Amino acid sequence: MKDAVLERVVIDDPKAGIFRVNRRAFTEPEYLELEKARVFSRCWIYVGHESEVPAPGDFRSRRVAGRPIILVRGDDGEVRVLLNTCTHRGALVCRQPKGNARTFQCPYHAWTFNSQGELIGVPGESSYSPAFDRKQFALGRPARTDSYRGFVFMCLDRTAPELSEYLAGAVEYLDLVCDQSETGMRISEGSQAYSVRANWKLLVENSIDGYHGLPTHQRYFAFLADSGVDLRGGLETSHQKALDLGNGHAVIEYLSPFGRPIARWVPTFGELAKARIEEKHRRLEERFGPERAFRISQTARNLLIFPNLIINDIMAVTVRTFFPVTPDYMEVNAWNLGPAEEDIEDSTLRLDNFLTFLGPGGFATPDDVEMLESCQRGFANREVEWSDISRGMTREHPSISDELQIRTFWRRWHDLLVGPHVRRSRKAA
Amino acid sequence: MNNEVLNRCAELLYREAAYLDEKRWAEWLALYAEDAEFWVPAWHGGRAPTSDPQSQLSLIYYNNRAGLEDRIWRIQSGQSLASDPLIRTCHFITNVRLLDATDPDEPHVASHWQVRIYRPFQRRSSSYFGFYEHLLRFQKDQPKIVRKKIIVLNDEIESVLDINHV
Repeated sequence: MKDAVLERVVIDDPKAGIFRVNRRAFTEPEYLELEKARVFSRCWIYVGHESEVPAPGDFRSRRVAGRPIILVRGDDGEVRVLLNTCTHRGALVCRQPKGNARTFQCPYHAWTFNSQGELIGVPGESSYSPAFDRKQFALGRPARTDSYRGFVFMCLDRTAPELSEYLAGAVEYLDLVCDQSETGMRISEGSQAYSVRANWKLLVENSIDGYHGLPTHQRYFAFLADSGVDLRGGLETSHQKALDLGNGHAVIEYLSPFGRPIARWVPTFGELAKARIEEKHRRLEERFGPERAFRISQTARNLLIFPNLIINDIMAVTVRTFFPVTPDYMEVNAWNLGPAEEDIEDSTLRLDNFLTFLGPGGFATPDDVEMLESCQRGFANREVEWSDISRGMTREHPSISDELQIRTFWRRWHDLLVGPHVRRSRKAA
Repeated sequence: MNNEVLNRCAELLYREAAYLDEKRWAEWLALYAEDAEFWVPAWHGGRAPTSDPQSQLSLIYYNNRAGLEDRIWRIQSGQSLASDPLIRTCHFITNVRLLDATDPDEPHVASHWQVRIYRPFQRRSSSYFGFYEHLLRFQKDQPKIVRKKIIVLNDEIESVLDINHV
């Protein structure tokens, strides 16, 4: 595809307050191919959480950015990402989604690899020539693997910046999530897998969109109000902000209208939980002082780590990743994240919060999914070429109902597909 | 004796399915005891369904009927975009068998199910299938569902999962 075509896919004119995305970006296979090459093969991509593989030999095999990989903790205690394909002829060496193993043996010809990925067994090895060197047949690895506070990422681009540099301003928000625990955050057993017949970027937009909350989820908010949650402040409060965190990452942060197990009590939690939740809040104040304790417990945040990791720290904490299969179809995985030390009462509360709102069987996610699929169907009207993402563009401090955080995603997406040079020259024009 | 219990259980399961498919929500709710548990586990690691709704993730979990009432309220409000009133469902329940009928008035029943779903707006059919476990309570003339556990075998959820899809 010529860059001239790409150039016109995002119109970004901050002075005039105009920001438009051409809907071809959601429908054309050429863009998906470019995304695979220039976004998913260049960025740090979330693989999993260290708490999913707590003991040496523990592994999870899954698909990340379309590639079958194994997240494994080696005998040496180190968490690695291995590419799940036999270096002999290609079969998956690990066919179990989770487990504990000292070795991975390819079921095809029984080549055997240790938990660090080294080839340690080849049946009939004497039939190979002296040139055959086991060392050259270790399982493949992504160019880079690193983790931040338990979140494991991989990157297929050897020239990419370090993870900490890549995460940029998102680190502050990951810390606000991780500091909820005194012993470390943990992914609960079980994941939700669902598919959506829509372009993956629609879910990015939706996951950090403060504008859609009340209209799309009116039944959920009516349900909350009915159950005694005070929504008079709405989502637009003095404690709200939308931020560009650098490198395409973005966040919205706001005073939580929802109860939070850490540590904001609401009547639906029941009187019994009140003292417990207040004690948690007191502990947070002890550890971090009143200001940060307030921020950790009383504000909620929807965080995008570019390109496809969403951590929504709302009434529960959901970790969500998704990957496009075709331009109009994506696969989504969602997990529940909570403090490892949480007792059964609070994890029950947390999961109840999670399931009420989130996931394909919740009160909110299905309405979102319905809207994303609705947008995708609407795109069939190709005569209507542009989507508008200019809300709040000329405001000094955009609110969470503005679209700064969504523009942040698109600017980075555009930079990676076209290159920053082109966009800047267009802006100047 | 057991045949009679089995017939009584099967009749209740079929009736529940009919209420869901015919969208007779009030009658469906009335089948559930106040303290009824309704549980659709998620899967962990693709191997087995999650086994504890209080510490592991589920797809749907309510530990009393109030949760089901909220869902029906939502479906009936006409304001939930995902609870499309046009979606048509058809439950097939088979292989009904007694797991435990020591107390014939509180039988534990297993069955296999399939739900065919048609979304007329999208002009698309799909289906979910799996296993049910019902704990029933027959008292006077008011049989109640005390617990329903739904294992969804094809757990990659297509867009949306509602109580009448499984």
